[in-house]
Amino acid sequence: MTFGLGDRVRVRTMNPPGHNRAPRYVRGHVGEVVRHVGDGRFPDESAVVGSAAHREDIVTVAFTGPELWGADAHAGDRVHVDLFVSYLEAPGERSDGGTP
Amino acid sequence: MSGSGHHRNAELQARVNRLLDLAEARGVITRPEVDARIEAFGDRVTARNGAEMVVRAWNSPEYRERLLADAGAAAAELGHAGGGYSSDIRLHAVANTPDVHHVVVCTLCSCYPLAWLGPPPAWYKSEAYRSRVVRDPRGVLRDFGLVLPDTTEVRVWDASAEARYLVVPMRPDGAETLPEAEQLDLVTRDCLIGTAVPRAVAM
Repeated sequence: MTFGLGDRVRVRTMNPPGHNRAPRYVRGHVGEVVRHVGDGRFPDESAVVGSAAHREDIVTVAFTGPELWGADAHAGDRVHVDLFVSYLEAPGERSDGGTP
Repeated sequence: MSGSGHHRNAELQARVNRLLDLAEARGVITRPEVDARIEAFGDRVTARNGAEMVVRAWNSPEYRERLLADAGAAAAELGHAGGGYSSDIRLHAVANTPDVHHVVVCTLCSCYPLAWLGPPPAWYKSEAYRSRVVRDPRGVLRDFGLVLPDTTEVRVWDASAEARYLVVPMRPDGAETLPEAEQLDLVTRDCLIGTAVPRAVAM
C-alpha cells in the first residue's frame, strides 16, 4: 500500500496479540499523511524473527487535537505519529465495520 | 565503574553484573569497553551536539535549509553522525516559528535522539509525560514553565518508528550579537526536546 502526501488515512482498528507499534490512541482515527519517513523492518514481525522481517514504508500522519481528544483539545494542535503503511487504510474502508 | 554502580535497586544491579559477567565470559564485550561507552555518553554524546546544529542554523540560512531538509546529513557535517544501534534510525529536525511550537515524545517506549542529545532525562521516559503530552501538550508545557499564546499551534511528534526528532528553537532577540559559544549556552537539552525555549537575552 502506498500513500501520497496530503492523503487522508485511517489507522486500522486492530488488537493483535503480539508486538505492534501503532499507538492505541490513534487506532480508528483519521489523519493526513505529511511526510515520507523511509522504510524499516516491520516491527510486528521483527519482534519474532529479528532481522529476517520484511521491510515496509513508514509515513508520518498528522492528527488534529479534536480528532483524537474531542472538543476539549485545541483546534490548532496536531499530533504527528510515524506509522508503518500496513497499519493504515483509506478512510472509506473501515476495518472495524463502522460506517465510513 | 560499570561493576560498582550506585543503583538503588540492588536486584537490578545484580542482574546487570551477571549479564556483564556472561558477556565478558563469552567474548561479547569487555568491562573496559562498557566503561568507554559510558564515558562517551558523559563527555561526547551530549545535548551540546544538537545545540551546535541549532546555533549553526541560527547563523547560516544555508545550513538551516540543509538541516530541515536532511538533518542526518547536516549533523554529519558537524561531526555528529549518530550511528550506533541501528542504521535505520533517521534524524528529522522541526523548526519553531512564531506560529508553531514543536515538542517531542515517544508514547510507546522512550525513543530519543540520543546521539544528538545524550541520554534522556528520567521524566522523558515517565508514563506521566508520555501519556499526557499528546493529549494536553499545552498543560504539560505550562508545567515546564512554558506558556504558549493561544494563537501558537502545537505540533507533537510521537517517535514511534525509525525517525528521531530534534526541535530547532527560534533564536531569541538579542542573541545575534552574542559570540557563538554564548549562543550555545542558550540552547539547552529541553529546548531541543521542545519543553523549553531559549531564555531571553538581556539587551
